[in-house]
Order: sequence, then C-alpha cells, then structure tokens
Amino acid sequence: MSNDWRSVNSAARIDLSRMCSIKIDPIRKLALVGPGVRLSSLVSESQKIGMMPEIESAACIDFTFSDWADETLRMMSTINSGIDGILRNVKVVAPSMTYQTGYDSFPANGGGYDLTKMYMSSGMSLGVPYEFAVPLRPISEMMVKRIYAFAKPADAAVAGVKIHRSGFPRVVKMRSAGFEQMLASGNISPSSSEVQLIVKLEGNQAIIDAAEKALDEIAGKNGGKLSEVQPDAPRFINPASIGSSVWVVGFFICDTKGLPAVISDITDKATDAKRAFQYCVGDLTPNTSLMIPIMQGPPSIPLLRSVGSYLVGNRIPLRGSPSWNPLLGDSRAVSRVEVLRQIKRVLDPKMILNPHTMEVF
Amino acid sequence: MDAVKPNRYSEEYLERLVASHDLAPMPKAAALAFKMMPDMVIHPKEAEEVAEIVRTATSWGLPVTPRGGASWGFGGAVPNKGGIMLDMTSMDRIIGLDTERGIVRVQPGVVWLRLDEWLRRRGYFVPYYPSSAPGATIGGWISTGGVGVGSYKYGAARDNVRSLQVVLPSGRILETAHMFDSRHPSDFDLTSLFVGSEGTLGIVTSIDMQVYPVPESFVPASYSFQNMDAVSNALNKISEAKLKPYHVAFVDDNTFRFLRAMGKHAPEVGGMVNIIFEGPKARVDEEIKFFDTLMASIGGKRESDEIANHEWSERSYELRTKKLGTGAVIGEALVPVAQTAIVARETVALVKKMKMNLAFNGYLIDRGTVAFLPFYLTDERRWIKAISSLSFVKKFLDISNKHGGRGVGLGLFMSSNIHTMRDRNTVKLLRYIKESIDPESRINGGKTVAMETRYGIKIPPALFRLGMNALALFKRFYPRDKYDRPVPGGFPGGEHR
Repeated sequence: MSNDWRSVNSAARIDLSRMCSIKIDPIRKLALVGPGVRLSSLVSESQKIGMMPEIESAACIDFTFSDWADETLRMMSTINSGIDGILRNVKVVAPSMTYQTGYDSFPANGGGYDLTKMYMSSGMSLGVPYEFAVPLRPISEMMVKRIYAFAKPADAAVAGVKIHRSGFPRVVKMRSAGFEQMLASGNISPSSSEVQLIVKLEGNQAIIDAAEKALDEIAGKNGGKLSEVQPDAPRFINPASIGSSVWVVGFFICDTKGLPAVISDITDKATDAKRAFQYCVGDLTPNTSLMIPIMQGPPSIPLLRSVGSYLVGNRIPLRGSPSWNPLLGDSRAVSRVEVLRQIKRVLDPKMILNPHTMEVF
Repeated sequence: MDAVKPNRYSEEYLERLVASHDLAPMPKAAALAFKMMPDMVIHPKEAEEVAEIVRTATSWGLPVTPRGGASWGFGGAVPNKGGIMLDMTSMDRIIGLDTERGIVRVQPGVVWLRLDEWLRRRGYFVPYYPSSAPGATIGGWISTGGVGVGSYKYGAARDNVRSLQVVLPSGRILETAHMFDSRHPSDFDLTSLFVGSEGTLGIVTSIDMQVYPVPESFVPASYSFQNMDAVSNALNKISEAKLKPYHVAFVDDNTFRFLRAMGKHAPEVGGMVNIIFEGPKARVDEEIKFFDTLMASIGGKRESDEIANHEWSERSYELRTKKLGTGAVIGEALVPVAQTAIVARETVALVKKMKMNLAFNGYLIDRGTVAFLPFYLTDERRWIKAISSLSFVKKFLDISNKHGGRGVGLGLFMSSNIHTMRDRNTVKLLRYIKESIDPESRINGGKTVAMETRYGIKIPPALFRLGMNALALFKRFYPRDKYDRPVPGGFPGGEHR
C-alpha cells in the first residue's frame, strides 16, 4: 500500500487516496475518516463546526492518514504521544479477516487488547486501513505562534526543553531558518546557522500574555531573541511539491542531548560537499526529537551515503535511531519482530501485504 | 523450584488464602467453578527469576497468575485453576530517573503513591494514576489499560508508558519498544498490546514511563449542584470548554448520605463536581476564573477551599463507605459524556427494582467520555444474596451499552463482556493473538478473551448472560436486609432528588 511515498517492485499497489470520506460526530467529538483524507481536509471540515483534531495540525497537513500508517510518518508527533497514540481506532481489512484495533469513542483500556499502536507501527503489513477514528476538540479562543531565533542549535535545544516544561506551550518545534525559506520558495538558500524555535500557544488573552512573558524570559536567558518574522503556517515537506532540488535523507530520532551534535556534524559534511543543509525538528519535548536532514540537489550520492552511514554508525552515542534502518543493531528487537510475525501469520498467512516489513532478520 | 530462594516461596495456607481474592468480595460458592486458591505463592525479585519460573511452570503444566495490589474487582489477579501465584509486589525497585528524557524506570510492584513521593523529591511527579494509588501497583494498573486521575489532561497509561520489559509465556524476555526512541518509535511498537492485556500475554517485569516537572500551582475547586441531572450537564459543559483542566470528578448525593451514616461530616448537596487545576500559576488562575463563571452560569455553587481540599484528599478513598456493609461491589463503565444523565437515571431505576442501596462517582477521562463507578452495599457472607447482587453489574453494563457505552475491565468474572465490547471478528483475532503468544494458555489463561472454569470448561457468553439475568430477576424478589434499606436521610434504592 502506498500513496506517493514508496516504490514497489513486482507487486500490486493499492492506492488509497480516493478513500477520502469524512464523517464528523459533534456529540461524540469524533471524526471518522478514510485513509485517503489529508489532515488539512479534516482540519477545514471540523473547523466548520468549531472543532479541530486532537492531532497537532501544524505538522504534516499534506499527509493522508494512510501515510501515517506507513512505516515512518506515524512518528510525527502530537501533544502527549505520536499520531498512533491519538487515534482511537483503525478499521482494517486483512487477508484472513476484517478487524478493529480499538474503539471509535473510547480509549481502549480494560476492554481486550489494544491493537492500535501495534497496527500503526507495522508498516501496513497487518492489513489495509479503511477508516480512522480521530478525536476532536473545541477550537481554542486564541492560538498564536511565537518564534525565537538562536545562533546555536545547542542553545535552542536547551531553551526548547525549558519552554516545553514551563507548562505553557502546546507544541515546541525547532528548525533551521532556511527551512522556512525552502518551504516558501521550493529551493534552499545557502546554509544558515540561525536556528528557530517555533512555539504554539493556546488559551485566552490573559494566558497568552502570561505565557509570552514567561517564554521570552526563558529564551532570553538561553541566548534566544524574539523573531519579528512570522512565517506562514508551517508545512511539512512534500516531495511532489518541492521537486527534485531537495533530497530528504530520512528521519533520525534522538533525544535533545544528541541533537546538537547531529546537526553540527551533518552541517559540516554538507558544507564540505558544497551542499546546503536544512532541517526540521518536530516537537522538542524532553525525551525525543525528530530530525529531517535535507540537502540541496542535484543529488550527491557520496554525501547521502556519508550522512547515512554517519547516523547509523553513531546511533548509540547520539542516543537515536535512523528511520530507514531502525532495527539495525537493536538486539532487543528480535523478540519483538517474532511476536509481530506470529500475529502476522494469523492475519496474513500467505504474507502478501507489505511482506518486506518483517524480513529484517 | 530451584530458581527461587526458599524465603521467596510459600505454600502456607494463610498466604494462599490472601492471594485467592481481590477487591471484590466473592462468595465461597464461586470456588465451585474456579480454583481461586493458588497452590503456591512466589515473590520474585528479577526478570530472569520470573523467566525461570515461567519456564519451569510450563514444563510442569502449571498455570501462572501475576498479581499486583489486587485493587480491581474482576478476578484478573485471582487464579481460576490454582497453580503458581506470582506476587509482583516483591519487585518494587525504582530503578532510575532519566531527567533528559523525563522517563522513570520502575519494577512493576512499585506502589503509585511511593513513586510519586520519590519523584517529587527530585522535582518531578506522575500526573496520571489510579484512585487506588496508595495500594495499587504500577504493573497492576497499566495492565488494566489505566485511566484514572489526570487522564483528562495527560491521557491513559497507554499514552505514557514508553516501553515494557515482559517475560513471555515461552520464558523469553521481550522489550516492547526501541531502546532510544520509545516515544515515537521508528520500528515495531508492542507496548500498547501489553498495556491493558490484564497480564494474559506475559509477565511485565519493568516499565519505562513518562513523568513531568512538578507544576508551579495546583488547586482543587468544588462546585455543588442540585441533582445528578445538573451534575451531568456540568460535565457536558466542561468537556466542551475551550480550556482543559487537569482532572474532573463527580460524586452523587448518596455518597454523602453514606458518609453521614458513618458519622462523617459531608455536605448536604445534590451532587458535586470537583475540578483540579495544575500548571503555571498565571494559567491556573485564569482557568479557575473561567470555570467559576461557567459553573455559576449553570447553577453550580463554588464550595469553600476547605471542602475542595477535603474532596481532593479523599480521591483515593471512595470505598470508605464499605464500612456500612461488609463489602461493596463496583461496576465500572465508560459512557459518552452526553449520555451521563440518562445512564444515571436508569441506573437508579434499576437499583430500585433490584432493592439495593447504591451510590456512584466518576470522572472525565477525555472530552467525550465519563468513567462511571457505581457501588452498592452487600454482605458476601450471605452467598445467595451476594451472588444475586452480582447481577447488578451485568444489568448496569447493559444500560451503559444501550447508551453507547461499554464496561471497563474483563478479568475473569467479566470476560464474557468482550462480546459486547468488540465485534465478532476482532474477538476472534484477540483470541488468536493469545493463542499464538501463549499456546498452552499458561499465563493468566482462561480470562479476558475467554472465561474458563477450574475444569477447563469455557463458559459460553450467552449462558453467562442468561444466568446473570435470572439472578437479577431473583434479586428483585429477595427480601431487603439492613444493607438494602435506605441510610438515614436517604431514599429506598438510592433515589436522587
């Protein structure tokens, strides 16, 4: 199964992009959406009745829900957990049966096994999704973004964690300044060392005022300053719209301790290769971060290999894992894959759905 | 059993007796169907020890039942076929706190209250926990899926548990998520499969969970209302509000009547909504102002800080009124917020029909859902009455289901309910999953996805439901005793004003 993201060889491809119905139940505060629905579509539909998805809509609004069910995009964060933690239920067709991973309306606690996260992390190898249940919430009275500029990634990472822990923001993201320009123009300007923290605040006027005062102080103490630039709504990279000038290496999940070193080392590599490097760090919470190394094209295969092997080789000291080979070196994953294979055999005994996903060992 | 040191192994009658029940007072007659007394009790200390015990038990053909604080009432922590009871409260080490990630690693037998106290000394706290926090273990609560205090803002256990170490029925040790990126795992994540599996897929031996910095401000506020309809309306309004407090709980008027009957001071109100705020002081102050206005607009009266603080301090003692009877059996259901009033009304009508004495409380677990916890007085020493009273839980869940809700917790006694909770194919899949991970059904077998007696006979759900309906009918004609009569100032059957 795939939309525009994955290539397949010698296999039938199921295009889910036309399964794009949206049913909103304002009483249950719930949206039931097809796998082809883009988050941006759900946002605009729910806004018509004064609601919005519990998912953080500042990220990946161009992605469909089936993209999220693919093997990496589910990592895009929301407030307390990844997308898979927010979803209530996924209705799935597997070769041997149809099933539901949880409940439409309720958290799946105390009512039999909760299959949602397992399904969402299976790379759609446990069945084809045909409906997702997404909780909705009222639109806040005020929503504002505040941008802080930093000269060094390390300072931004430290400030970002403190800002997140202040209890005010809904989301804190970190990006290179050139990332926003790239999204606007489709091209990358030369590498900029400036780093931005993008903080999303919600509440009423008094809460926003208090938050801005507190966060300005935290940023100031850590070498940041309030940016005058208010970018458009942040959008995630969509290769189809950006074109061939940008190469997405992949995600590298690490914590904030390892993050500055990753950024610094890859920037050096890109500079040596006379390429620009920009990045986006999603949801700068204390325990994890998300990074997307990007290089301006035309593609430099040696550089891509160099960055890739650097991240793989340093995953332990950097406290992270690369999305394109997440199981590499994690001996703990062996038992996990075995359990998943047992479940896969029940649902897909002939191993016809995305069989490559579990062929890692 | 060579793997276990002598001082951590017991066949003493008293110890086995203690391990043969949980919070629910079960009549002795239940032993006809279930061998609830284990043959031995083991207090393990490490995962490797648990793995060895599981391997040995499998080779001996013995069932294994893990047990934490046993503060649920559905038989999940009680054997149905005897065998080995693993008392996990002996695995009670707090292994460490990673301040960079905000993750604490604990063994499953750590009690919630103790963890919270330990964290607060280091500037952190755990904002989500069961109301039974003084006695419930972390492993026990997460095995139920864990919704409780703080879930409204911070989510359920599944949203906060980052990784588990589990001893599988094969004796192998499994880590459910990646060693580093356990919040947004880039590979397979089995954490939520085991969270909420009620100890039927393996024995949890270590837990990584998210913790948070202690908030600057923490304020409980209580609002009284005329009756349960008004309380239900308040819950609706709160769930639709643009601001989101930390925790929202409610109690009915009969809860206060029970307390007064015990000689405690309790306010004479038709119902109470308790809203708890936490966070930066500026935010908390604004939220209090906002909810004061909202509650006043629908007839809520803000009670004194003394009452609010008392209500908050009592959050873990909702079963204090057990002293009125020799026991109280709880049922628990998740109900759409919009249906709270009608579920409350029909529950009261049911109580009248069944000649019982009941009160209820509950809390919001998210913007769409109320956890609804009725409890009634009973006397398990009178087994005919006690067994017939058990049918109330089934009838109460029928009411919840009718209005779009569902029960919480399957364990042993409620496992037939899985058919009312999940569709037929999914139930089949859940059973396949149990069978594929635990082919010989050694780990807490015959529960959650099936109800199995001590003789290995699976009780068909239809038979169970038929039996419960018959008992409910019987209870309607059973004479009242002192536990069914209204408490002073109350009404027969817990009628609400």
